[in-house]
Amino acid sequence: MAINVAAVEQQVLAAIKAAAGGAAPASQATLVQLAQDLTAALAAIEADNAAGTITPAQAQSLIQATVDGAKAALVGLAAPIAQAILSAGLNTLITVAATATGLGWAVPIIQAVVNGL
Amino acid sequence: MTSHKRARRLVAIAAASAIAPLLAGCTPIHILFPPPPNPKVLADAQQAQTDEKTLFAQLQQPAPACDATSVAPLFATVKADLEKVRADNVPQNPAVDQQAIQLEKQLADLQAGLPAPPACLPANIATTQQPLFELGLSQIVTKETPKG
Repeated sequence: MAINVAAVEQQVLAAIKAAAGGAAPASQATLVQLAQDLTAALAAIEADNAAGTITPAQAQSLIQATVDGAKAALVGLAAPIAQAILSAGLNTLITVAATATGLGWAVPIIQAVVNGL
Repeated sequence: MTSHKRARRLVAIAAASAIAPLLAGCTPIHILFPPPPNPKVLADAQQAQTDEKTLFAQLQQPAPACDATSVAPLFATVKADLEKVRADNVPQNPAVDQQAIQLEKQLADLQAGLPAPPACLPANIATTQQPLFELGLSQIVTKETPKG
């Protein structure tokens, strides 16, 4: 499956901005960076999963690692973003990125990880 | 309890009831007034930055240097760095504590995703997990660096 990473990044970024509507300008650069890093990480997992170079169990662990990393970056934002908005934002952006990168099958796994955070 | 005391207690309860919903929507106090930069946490986080670069570099080396057995000590080193960040985070900055916890989870999940030796993780996984890890870690460094 060919992935338009730039288009996915834009979708993810839009999802983050929508969820974190009150983010301060200083946080915008972090949000952009997060969108890029998150999309690249999920796209790599999807590519290796499709190629059979990692097992489904490995893919699951790596998706969890990706969600953890995204959560770490969002928690660190200086903007006064409420925890509920953070969770909603993370859930949204992960779902958007996962679906767009071909990891739609992993969305329930990802949502379970996000819900458990 | 006298009627005067009872009246004051009822007023206090009513005031608290009125204020609580307003406070619920407020920014947590630790975000508005975070603790001052902590030089110990800064040093710990910078050490973690150095050690994670070593770890991710080795994950991209040819086998057997990149296999799960070979990189296990490097994972342990970065984990220890993050534990030190949390231990030295006094007075506690809750955001730093949560970030360190999440970064430890990311490392643990990444390590769990390694194949059994002699196989190694595909290089593109290591190269794309590293920026995500470094983003959170750099935020801790930024927070703990004295301003001005």
